[in-house]
Amino acid sequence: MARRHCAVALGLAVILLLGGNVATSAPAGQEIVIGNEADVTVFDPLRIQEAPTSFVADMIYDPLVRRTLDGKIGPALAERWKTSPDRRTWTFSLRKGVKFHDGSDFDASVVEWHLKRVLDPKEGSGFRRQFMVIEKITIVDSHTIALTLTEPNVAFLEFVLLTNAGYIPSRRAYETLGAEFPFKPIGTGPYRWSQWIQGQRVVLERNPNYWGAAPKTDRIVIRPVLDVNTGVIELETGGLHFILRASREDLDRLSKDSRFKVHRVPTYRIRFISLNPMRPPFDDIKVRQAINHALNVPQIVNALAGGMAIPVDTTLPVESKLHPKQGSYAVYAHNVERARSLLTEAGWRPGAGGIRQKGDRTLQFVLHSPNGRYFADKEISEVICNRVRAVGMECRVKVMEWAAFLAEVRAGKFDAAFLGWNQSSGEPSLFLDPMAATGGRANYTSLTDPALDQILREGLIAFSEGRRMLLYNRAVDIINKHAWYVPISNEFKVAVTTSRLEGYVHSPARNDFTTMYLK
Amino acid sequence: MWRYVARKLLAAIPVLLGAALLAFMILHLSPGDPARLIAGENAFEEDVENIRRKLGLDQPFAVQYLRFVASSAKGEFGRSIRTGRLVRDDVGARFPNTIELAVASLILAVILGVAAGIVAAVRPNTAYDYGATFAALAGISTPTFWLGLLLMLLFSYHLGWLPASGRAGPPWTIDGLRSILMPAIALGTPSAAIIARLTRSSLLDVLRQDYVRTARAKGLIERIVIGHHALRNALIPVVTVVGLRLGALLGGAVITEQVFSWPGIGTLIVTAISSRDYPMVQGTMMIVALVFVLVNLGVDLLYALVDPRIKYE
Repeated sequence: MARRHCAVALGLAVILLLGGNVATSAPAGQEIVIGNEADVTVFDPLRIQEAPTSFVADMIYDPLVRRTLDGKIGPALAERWKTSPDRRTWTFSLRKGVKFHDGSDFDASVVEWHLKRVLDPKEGSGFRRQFMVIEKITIVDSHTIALTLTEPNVAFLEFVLLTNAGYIPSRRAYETLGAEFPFKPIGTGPYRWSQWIQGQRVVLERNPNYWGAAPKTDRIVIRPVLDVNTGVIELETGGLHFILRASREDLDRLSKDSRFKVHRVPTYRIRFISLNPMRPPFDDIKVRQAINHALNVPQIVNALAGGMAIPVDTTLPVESKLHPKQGSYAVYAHNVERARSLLTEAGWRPGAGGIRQKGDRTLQFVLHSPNGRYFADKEISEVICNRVRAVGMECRVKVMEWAAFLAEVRAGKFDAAFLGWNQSSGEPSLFLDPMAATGGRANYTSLTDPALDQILREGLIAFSEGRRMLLYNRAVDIINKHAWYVPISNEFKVAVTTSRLEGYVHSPARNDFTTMYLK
Repeated sequence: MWRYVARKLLAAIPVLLGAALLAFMILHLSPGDPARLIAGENAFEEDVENIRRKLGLDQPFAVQYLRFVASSAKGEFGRSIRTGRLVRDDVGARFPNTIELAVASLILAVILGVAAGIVAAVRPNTAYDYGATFAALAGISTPTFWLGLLLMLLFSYHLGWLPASGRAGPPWTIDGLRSILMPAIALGTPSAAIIARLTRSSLLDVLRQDYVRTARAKGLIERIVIGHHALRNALIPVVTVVGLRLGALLGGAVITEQVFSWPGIGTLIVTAISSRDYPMVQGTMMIVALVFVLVNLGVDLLYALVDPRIKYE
């Protein structure tokens, strides 16, 4: 009898243990829990390179200027700014009365200290070369600072101040925290750093002295949830209120569920196949044009990445305000016959098994692809390889681990490669200059065209939007005519929130968590 | 015995240095540039070069390795290329969580595995035996990530009993215990299956021995025969496997940690490898190897407890 009672008590204890505490996982008060794809790392703005850290940093730090939700550039720590008549000097009027989270004052001397730190080679910042366009820093008064550039640059704000190194940290924190400085961020932003348990959570508290509109939520908790499926289950079971990624199938399912809101918008992430004109067979423009014609990119993208990306015909994001109008630049419509005739014109004749040959050479190439770095990258690469056989090309996909892939691609050791380029704005110079200007930092295949270089240079100094529109239209046209790339897709920025979450605006430009609250 | 322990510990030093060297060589031989990964895809080559110099990655292979050994001798295990923190601190923050998970899963595995093994062995060729053997086969064959997601669907999504992921606290708190249950089951299931099979075969062997027959002939009840006489001898190979499993669980919980967002070293190692964070990988390998050596030593010493005939000189 006593044993039976013990068993019943034990059973009850197990039930209480397992099921009796369900309510604790529900959100309490104004705390919003966000799922992050990885844990945060370092918060020294000079060294923030990873998206899981930078989106948290954006709540703690402020830059001088900040992108607005509609993609424009608005004031932040600088209330206003102007450029000199020669367009080289940018003068910023700084906001007065702003304090860092540690109580120290924000003024021009802090901005000067921070910029000099980025430029100091001993600091080893990955942003230094970008900031080197700043030739001189002049403190005009305690709340006015002038930055003189080596040459005029219309995109200076996007190119320099809107990078992660543009966040202004507390100088006092740097001087007092020592080695802990990168791990205890002190900024002027809407949220203050409260707690970090490695691999478990970061807790941010509302900054009661924030200079801007007060954040609507008291606390933001950011939890690393490494597996994409786990993130969805956490959202569905109330462990998270907000996730930044989900599989295509889950997005479709959740979009039909009234308990959740699914947000998708094309953002500044371009995916493309880079064709290496320094190596055969793509050293021949006709072969590059032929592969462009051979592929039905919209069909491939819609089938494999529909809902996560849209097909494109340029290497400029569709949300870029200077994206040229359809019909004003060269494109390669899907036309298998045209592809075949171009290859024939290039001297490639159908050979054994339908694969074309020129003399004793076979028309073949290897397509380098990462696996999972970009949405459906490997799958799209495989389909591309399959489709080009229809015009007599033999293709093999070489799937590589990211670090190894990057090393080979950067060394130009590839025939063709599935690549992507992400930026935090649609400013065309951030895409076209790196990818297509001679010596551009993402120009891995030594592409060069003096006429294009001239246009891109002019694009950086033409301050009229109409003129810039014209210049970048010509640049896109030239790049497409060279057929250096096969534009593939423009990926979406995705978020899923509980329907209790209000005030969130899904914008390609930035995340603003200050307006969010739970109903 | 102490001399034996000291000898084993001394022998561990070349093992640790070898483990670190192996990890170091494999990473250096595989393509990928840590300076580029730190600087970011968008960085200019000039900045990448600068970072490479600053981190000493431009130094010869031997210099980098010796620096790491010197730092390890101080107990620091180098400085992470990615975060700039001491490897000791990063691993120290996470390794207790991995130990916690490994021990919890092993406890589950031993309880379930030994129990299933005994049931199968004392009733050979019955439905109990076939059931336990089938369960063991299924346990070994089930991929951890799949089992993890199934557990999550059942206990979090449908029943709402357990949190889907994360570590909510130490396992002696209610929240902590609830958060470790599913990862421990997912991680412990293959071990439970191995232990069940081993216990069954080992116990079947022992049950055929003369002294067991003698015990039965003396009129001892079956529970005493099995529990007191047979099981103790049958457990010697099981203890060996349990020790090896603990070592494997400490270093091999990567997938479970990933699925359940468990803040252990598994996820740390994966990130370190993909970012070519040489000191972090080496340091973690060295620490895991050290724990492995210590666990094996502990198992050796346990033999003496289980079987009094074994003595260490």
